[in-house]
Amino acid sequence: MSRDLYGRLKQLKRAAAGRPPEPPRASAAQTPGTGETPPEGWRVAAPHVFEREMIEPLAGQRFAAPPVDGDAMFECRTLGRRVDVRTLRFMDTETTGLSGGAGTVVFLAGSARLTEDGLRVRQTLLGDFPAEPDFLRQIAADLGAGVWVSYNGKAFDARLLESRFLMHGRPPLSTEHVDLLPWSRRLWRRRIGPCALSDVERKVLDRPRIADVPGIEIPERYFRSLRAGEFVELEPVFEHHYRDMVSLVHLFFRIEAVLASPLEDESVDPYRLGRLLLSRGDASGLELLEREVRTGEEAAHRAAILLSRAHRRAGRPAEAIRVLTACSSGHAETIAVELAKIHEHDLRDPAEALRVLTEFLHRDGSREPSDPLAYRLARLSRKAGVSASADRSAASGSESPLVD
Amino acid sequence: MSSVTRWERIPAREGSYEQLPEDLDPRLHAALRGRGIDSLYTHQAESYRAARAGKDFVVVTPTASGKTLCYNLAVLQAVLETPESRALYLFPTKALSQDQQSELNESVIAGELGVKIVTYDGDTPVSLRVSARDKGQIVISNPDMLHAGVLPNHPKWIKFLRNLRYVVIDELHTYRGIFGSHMTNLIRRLKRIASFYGSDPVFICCSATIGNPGDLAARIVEKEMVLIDRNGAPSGEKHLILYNPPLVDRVQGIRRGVVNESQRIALRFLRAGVKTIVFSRSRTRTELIASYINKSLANMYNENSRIRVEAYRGGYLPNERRAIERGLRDGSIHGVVSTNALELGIDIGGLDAAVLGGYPGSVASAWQQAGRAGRRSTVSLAVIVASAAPIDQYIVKHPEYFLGRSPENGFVDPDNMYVLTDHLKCAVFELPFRDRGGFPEGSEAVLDYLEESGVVRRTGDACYWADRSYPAEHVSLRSATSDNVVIVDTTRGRHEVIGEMDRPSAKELIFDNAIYIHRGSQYVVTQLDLENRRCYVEASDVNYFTDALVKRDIKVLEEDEHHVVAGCRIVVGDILVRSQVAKFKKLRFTTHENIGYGEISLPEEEMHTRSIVLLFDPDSRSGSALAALDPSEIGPALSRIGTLVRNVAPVFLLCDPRDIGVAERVRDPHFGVPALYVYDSYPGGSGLSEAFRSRVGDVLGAGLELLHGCPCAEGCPSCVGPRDPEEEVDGNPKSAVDHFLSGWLEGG
Repeated sequence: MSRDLYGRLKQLKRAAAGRPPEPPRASAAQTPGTGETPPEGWRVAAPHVFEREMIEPLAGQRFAAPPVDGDAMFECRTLGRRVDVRTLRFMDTETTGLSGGAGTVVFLAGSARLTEDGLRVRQTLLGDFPAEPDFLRQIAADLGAGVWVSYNGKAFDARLLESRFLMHGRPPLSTEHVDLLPWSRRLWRRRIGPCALSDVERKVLDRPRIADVPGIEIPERYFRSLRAGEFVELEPVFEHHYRDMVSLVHLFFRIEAVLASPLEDESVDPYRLGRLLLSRGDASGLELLEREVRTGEEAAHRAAILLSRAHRRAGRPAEAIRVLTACSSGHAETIAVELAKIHEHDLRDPAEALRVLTEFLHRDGSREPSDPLAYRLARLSRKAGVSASADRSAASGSESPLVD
Repeated sequence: MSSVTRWERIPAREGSYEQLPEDLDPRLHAALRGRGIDSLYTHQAESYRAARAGKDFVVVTPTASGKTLCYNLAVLQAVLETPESRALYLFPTKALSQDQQSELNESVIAGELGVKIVTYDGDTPVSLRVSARDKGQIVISNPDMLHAGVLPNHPKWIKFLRNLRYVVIDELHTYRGIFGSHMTNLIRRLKRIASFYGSDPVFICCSATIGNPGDLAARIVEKEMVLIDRNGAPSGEKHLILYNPPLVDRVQGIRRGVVNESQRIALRFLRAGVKTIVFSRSRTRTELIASYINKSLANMYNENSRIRVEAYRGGYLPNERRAIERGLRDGSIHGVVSTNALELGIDIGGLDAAVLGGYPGSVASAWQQAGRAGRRSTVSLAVIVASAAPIDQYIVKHPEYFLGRSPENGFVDPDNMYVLTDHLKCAVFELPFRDRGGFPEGSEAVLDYLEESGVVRRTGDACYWADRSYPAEHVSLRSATSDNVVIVDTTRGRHEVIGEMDRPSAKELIFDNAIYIHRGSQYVVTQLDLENRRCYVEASDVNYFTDALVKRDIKVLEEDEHHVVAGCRIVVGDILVRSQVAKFKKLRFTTHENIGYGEISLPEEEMHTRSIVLLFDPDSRSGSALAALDPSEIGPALSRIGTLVRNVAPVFLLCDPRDIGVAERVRDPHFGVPALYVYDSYPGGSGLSEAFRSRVGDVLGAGLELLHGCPCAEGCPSCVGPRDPEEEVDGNPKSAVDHFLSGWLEGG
């Protein structure tokens, strides 16, 4: 009965898809390899779970890591506390799909870490699905402690691993986690656009990839390897995964370096970094925002406003006025209003505030002021003891009432 | 009175009651008493006992019988006893689940008991989902969300699934045919995942009155189900009236229209202070009847009547619907005109009269709608107003047919190859298969097939998902798209969303220049922007409404198989069913006279599906039997065969009549001979037409038997369909079909 059903199903589905019959394919049971032999250079960690570890000397690396000997503590600025550099786990996974869900499996996981011997990169491969419990045990040994550093790992790798651990009745790994994707976007998106890791490698780290396997091919290569019972096809994937983790090390220390001396790296977005540092109370933020104002680019006026407010809070209204006056990026109304606020509230000089605004209207004489501006003008006029209408007609030369 | 063809009186029935259960949590006890509930109807008490004893059951709940307490009581009790307990409520539509939550939150007890009830569906904001999953004790959802959102991500639901005590499937009767087949498979998946996390929930189903509630529930849940169908709720005396509008043209046999007659009858009731619900068969008619009633009431001097009548249909915004439901419950709204949207279990309290503007198409629906009128102690009445359609005319002329018939059965075929394969994919994705895990015999073969097509890997002793895709995304439980068009009022610079409509209906109802009526207000469509799913309308006051003319045609795409069965050539292949609205009529309000046409330029709605085509070649046995008929009988006979197939096939194919489409061609443009198409009303096909291929002989044989056994004289809805005055057949269509079928099948 079941053969009959099978035949019918094949017929149905083939007809439905409008495809010619597929040539019979060898099923897994008949293939020569059984997936028990590790890829070359890997060792068997458990049945169908393979592992390899490679060490790159730290000398000659292009990243500037803090010393790994002694107490190895350093001020980790992405995390905001002191950390032992040896506890960092630069981690990455390769998966059987990108959509998540219970049917998406992590088949390759690993970490790079800094040791006294050098940069130790460990990779663990799931040789076939039934071995997943052992695979997860190996991963837990590698990644169960320390601080994870990943690229988009908070949204993807960590969640997927959590699902896998839960499905196998194991407590999920729980560690601190620095995700470099949001950092990269903050620092470089304005300059380089999309921030896939490969973009950042090429445009920021100057580590372009050669002959990299496209991510979209990776699941299919894994499935084919499983069917073939050997992992030759995965060699480029191993290489890709390895490089990803090493790139994470480079990127991490690059970002740390930027944060340590934010004024020295010309490649970063001065506005977003400046804003961040300002919010952290770091005075370099002021200088970065000054740079942004000087660029006269799109965010210049926002930088100017942030900066002027920082100066106002610090009791330096004159500085605030200087910054705003120096800003020439358009958005004249916003700037004028901001200036008027300083005159009105900080310097208690409504007449000057009124003058700034009327001067703006004069320059901008072509159109009616917006409602909030009209209200502000009216209030300032009252405060300054000048009749609104008189002043307004002086400003715009029009008789139309600004306010009711 | 001469128009009344039957007046049936159904005597009042006493209620039967039981005390509140003794083990009931004191808090629940107090909350119930606080609402004036100090005893239960026997079916509620029976439900509570079954649920407490861990028995799976289905309770048949006629309208106004206190359905929700049948499950809420046991569920709330469980949650109060063990706060970790979880329950899942499944409603067939999003609208119903939201109704349910508002009811639970507003009028029931949950609030004061501190039970956390959440709705989890496509509308739940992402920011609330985590807390819904972790903290919701009662999660209200729908099958689509369970299928594509919950089960594929079950590790996120671990806490919920581990503690799942009850699964409530409400409106069970809607899970018929292909939709029901999907539902069974979805429940298989749910049980499998629940058991993976160590839970074994009790299933509680609620069904409207259908022919086989116990059987349907057992097929959906695949467990032994206790049937609770002794309704303990009291009911007052009921009258059921079948009404055939009077003839206005005796020669042509034209009767007064169903719209005007329904509103006239409803108006008489309303003016006499009788709370009335009018059911109508389309959204446009619903709005028309409501506005006619309101107009007539407004004509009464000084608006003294203070009678409030509202229209109600799908497409209103949720808060509008809630307001109308509330108004009906608290009595501030006296009348409502509705599509079948109010046929399902939305609580609107009891009404005195129901007017059915046209026979709703099935016995079950007719009783369900009539049941909306019915109070516990007073007299109520339902009037079925017949339209000119042959089936309506048959019902009013043969009242015993309607009254003597039990409601339709619901069929499902969970092992339908297409459906099963789709769900096995989803199930492997969710959890590797070691054993069949609740899936039927034969699933192994499907898994073999999936392995061969490379999406599943069999290794060790299990089957694993081995594909990068997310299978649930590509499997839809329903035939219709759930895409909605939002209707935006732009009158005088406004920009306000006033309603919504599914995409295929939008093409037929809110095309450019269409008149759209919303709760009695008239709008003209300025632009239907299908791409962005927006429809812009402006207030209007023209004196007409619009009605699109829909043209359907079939194009053969692929002929995959040719067979000869019982003297008939049969082709199995792919077809494209296209429906296009190209024109619309403008119909004057009240008189419904046609006052003009307009053009519509919208893309066709297309459905690519599977079909079987019966070809009646002149030299074949079937063809010569057909050719032996009088030429004027050939068309009608073919279309009658179509009706017969629709009536009989569901029994053999375990589907619902709406799952299959039938079209006949006296001379088919593709094949050049008379043809009958039987196709899957489901994009991509559902396997029914293929299954039909191997049952053609059985279905037609059973059809002929049915025809011979049917006591009707000239055809009735149960066999070849009633006689249609529009058809120009001289002889009796029933005997023409008989000659054709006998000649064909018996080689006569």
